[in-house]
Amino acid sequence: MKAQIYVVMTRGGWQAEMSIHAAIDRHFWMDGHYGGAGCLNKDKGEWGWLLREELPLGDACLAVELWESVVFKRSGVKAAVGQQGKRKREAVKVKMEASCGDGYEAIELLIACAKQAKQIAQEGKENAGLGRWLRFGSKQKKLAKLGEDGLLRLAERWVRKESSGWEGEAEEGDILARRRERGAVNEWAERGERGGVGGRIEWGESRGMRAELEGLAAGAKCAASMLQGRALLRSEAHALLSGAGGPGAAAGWSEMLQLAALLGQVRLGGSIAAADGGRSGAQGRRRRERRCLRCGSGEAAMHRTACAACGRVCAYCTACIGMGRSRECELLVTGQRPGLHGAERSDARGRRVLSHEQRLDKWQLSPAQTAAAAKALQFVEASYVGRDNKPEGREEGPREFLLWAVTGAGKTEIIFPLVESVLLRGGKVLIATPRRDVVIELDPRIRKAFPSAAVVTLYGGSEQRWECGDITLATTHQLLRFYQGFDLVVVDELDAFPFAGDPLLHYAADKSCAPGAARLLLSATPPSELQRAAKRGRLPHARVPVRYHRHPLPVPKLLQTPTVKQMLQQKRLPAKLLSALQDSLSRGAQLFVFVQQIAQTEPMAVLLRAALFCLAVSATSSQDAERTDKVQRFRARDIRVLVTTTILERGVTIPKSDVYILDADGSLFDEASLVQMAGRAGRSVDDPFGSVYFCSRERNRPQQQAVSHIQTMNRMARKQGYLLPSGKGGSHR
Amino acid sequence: MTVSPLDWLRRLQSAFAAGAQLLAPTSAACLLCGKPQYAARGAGSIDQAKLTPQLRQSLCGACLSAIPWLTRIACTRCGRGVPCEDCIRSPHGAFQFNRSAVHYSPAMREMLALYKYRGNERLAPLLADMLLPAFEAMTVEIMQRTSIARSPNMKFNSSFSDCWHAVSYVPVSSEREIERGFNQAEQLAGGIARRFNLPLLRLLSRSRHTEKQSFKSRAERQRDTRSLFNAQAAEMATLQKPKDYSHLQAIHSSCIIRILLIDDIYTTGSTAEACSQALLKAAVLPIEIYVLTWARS
Repeated sequence: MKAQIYVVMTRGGWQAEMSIHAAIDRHFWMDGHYGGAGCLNKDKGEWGWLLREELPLGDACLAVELWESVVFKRSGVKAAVGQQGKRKREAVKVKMEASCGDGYEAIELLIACAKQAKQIAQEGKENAGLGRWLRFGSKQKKLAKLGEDGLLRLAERWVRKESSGWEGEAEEGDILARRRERGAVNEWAERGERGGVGGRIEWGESRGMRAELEGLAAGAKCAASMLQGRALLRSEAHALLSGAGGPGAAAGWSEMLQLAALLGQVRLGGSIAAADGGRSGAQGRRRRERRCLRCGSGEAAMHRTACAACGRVCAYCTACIGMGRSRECELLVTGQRPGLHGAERSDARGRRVLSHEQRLDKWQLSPAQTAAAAKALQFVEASYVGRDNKPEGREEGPREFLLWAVTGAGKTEIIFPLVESVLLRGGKVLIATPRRDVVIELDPRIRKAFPSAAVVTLYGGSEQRWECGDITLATTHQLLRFYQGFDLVVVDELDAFPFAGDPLLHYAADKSCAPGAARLLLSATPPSELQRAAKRGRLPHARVPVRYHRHPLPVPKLLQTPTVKQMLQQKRLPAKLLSALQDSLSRGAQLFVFVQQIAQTEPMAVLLRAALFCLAVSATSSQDAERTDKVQRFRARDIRVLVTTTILERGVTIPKSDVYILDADGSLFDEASLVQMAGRAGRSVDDPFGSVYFCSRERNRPQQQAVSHIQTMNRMARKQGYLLPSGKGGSHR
Repeated sequence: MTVSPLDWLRRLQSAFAAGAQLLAPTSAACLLCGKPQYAARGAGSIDQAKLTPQLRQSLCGACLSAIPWLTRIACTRCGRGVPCEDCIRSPHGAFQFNRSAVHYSPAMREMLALYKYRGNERLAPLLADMLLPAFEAMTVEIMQRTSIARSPNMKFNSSFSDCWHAVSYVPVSSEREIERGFNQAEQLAGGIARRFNLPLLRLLSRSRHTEKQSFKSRAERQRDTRSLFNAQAAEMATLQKPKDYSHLQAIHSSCIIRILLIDDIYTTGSTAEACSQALLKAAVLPIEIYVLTWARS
């Protein structure tokens, strides 16, 4: 889409802005009254210049940035802030001192910046074109060349509407009458004739208009509150606003967004922008690397095409296209959200009367769970309380805590007290997991634990797409649509596909954390670098070495068998494996049979059906449309044996189950996935000793590592006294 | 068996291209399913050998072999793979015939949605390449019909530029174009025009913004498309300027101007019919319009 840019003079001096609906800006700066909503602008403008030309959105943003950087460099504050690198755009508005007449200098600089922005977009390089402005400021010569008429052709002039008696809200009716009288003579009418590009809407003086302005102000506030903590593309924001059925949402959404932006509640910009920095080449030229602001992908993911929406070649991001197209001229709406810190915190301190122990008691956790939860709780709450004492530089990025809990430890229960703690303080919680199945399974458990909280579940195709709640359950992909929206972010199964090894999702997870938020990483098998960081004390963490039922983890037994391929060729199962399978069936267990390849699942199911004389054998994989259904039937014991791939290695809890991993020496099964698959066995109190078999031709390293991983955890549990005493049936052997 | 030297050269060229491809870096992932595609490399059938290297490189073997090519045509009018009552009941008179590259199967529907609605424009060159077999077949068909003498040592490409005078496409409304950022038919047509060095002309414009065709019933479509398109006078004039085609008239026995009209989907043919009617109405010289679509539903 396209946007316009303008400069406006307020008390502090000239400032440059970008607008997607310039008429809104003019009214905001030059009038500022919105009917019954009163005056929304505390710092009204005196003069303004609007560039008539509509620029591609990305260029418009860049031009404003350039304008600010020139003004910033020219003013003397360079020494103070300049050393620290990039200043935060939202923190301090750069203003040009007001001593330059009618703002010819400001608008001329803006025109030069617009030109420069277009050039940069074309060539992908920045040259020293604005250097003149840095050194000398506006040259009178230039104005003479352009002339006032020439300037008026390029730009539209705004003049402040007389507002002598307007501040008194009591006399609104009277004011309206006066406004109507004046309407004919004041400059508004004059500008209306010249209106041109910017004059799409002329706010007249009638009562209808007044109601409209009031509605607009209400709509902008409503939109701002709905957009809090989100980062949405134009079409998504549109869907959110019209879905919520706000006042006149569908029609005037761009007006509302623009007003909300003026009020500082949302930020508008291109969704791909040229990042500052990069290496500077010869002659001081600097290549501007583009970056997707939604998913963080760099130049490598950009694909350039001719774009009909902005009329030039513009880049789109191929990395996050599955979540809607993010492109240079596409609007990215970012809702600002006041964090939990600040004013609310002191209030929260008063409310926290219960001690950690008292609060933890109510969740009835096992000793190991309680210990971990207490440590995590301390961490989560410290990240609010202890922020004042921190040096400035260390607040960047969320604080992380690793919860390393064995499979079946009851990780979800451990996070309940943490969620409660954040909710009590009025914060928002996000629980993200890489897989959709897990999100759907988690939903009822969370709702049960927090009946009074609003729970929103997000995944591809979710009904609650645009709802806003206290607790958000989402797949990690959905995090792309949030910006600093949460005070506690829990990333479950962080080592699972697709979260592991996808920088895009990591960026999204970082972005969704509010400043100072705590991030909790949950895993039974953390990646080795996190394990190392935890062991060296660089990463705060808690380990839960025992399951919630306080029985040790089943240790896998190694079984030497032929490969699956051979079994399928010979249509015969080895005797050892067959008798183990029959034992499991006769003790009434549910059997997981894991194989490496999707193509092997069905033939293996056929073979097992014949060999075990059991009809309740089924196969499923990631490409099976009926997977959810089959898992349900497996849980309901309609299916006794389920042949599957790593797709079911985590997130599935079947009460009484045994696990057989065939081709356990295959390259697709690493230590983590073997531990996870083994973790499907013996998860319930009624049957804590399921059996696990690694069936393979040879013992390789991952198998041994997995076995020793499980044994280490059991040893640790025993040492810390978390296991039930053997007299009560605690130890298996 | 005699082999002409030209044939030899061509074989040599294709052998070289195949050899070079072995050295080429394999692209990371299939553009459709996102899976790394090393596994299915060798699975090419004879049919796939005709496809452009780009198509073979950007898709994995599984996705490539899932393309339902429309090679056997049952209805010579609309290019459908099965006998077609529509064309018997109410034949479209304005254009000569339609040919489509693929059946509009669910997989193809998904592929088109990925491109058209999700905006993954990296697929555009692939879709354009998929038009090639159908385009070549229809060109040969026309040549046979009109019995244009095709001397054996005439270049392959030049025979295409003899047959076709212009490539054009079905326009979208400007609202839709701004919303979507591109016109899919234009990109497809651009691909063909560039490859065969044919002039790409914007002969038509859409007079009003209509709802998406895919939401409408058959009768609605036919009613809606009436007088929906206007011919662009300026572009039509370039088409009819005699000097561009003076050299062609020497070759052609007749001076009929053949226009290739390209669109993404042919469903009822009402869009193609409306476009062709608009073109015929605006044409001064006799023109023949042939329609090439990516999918036939």
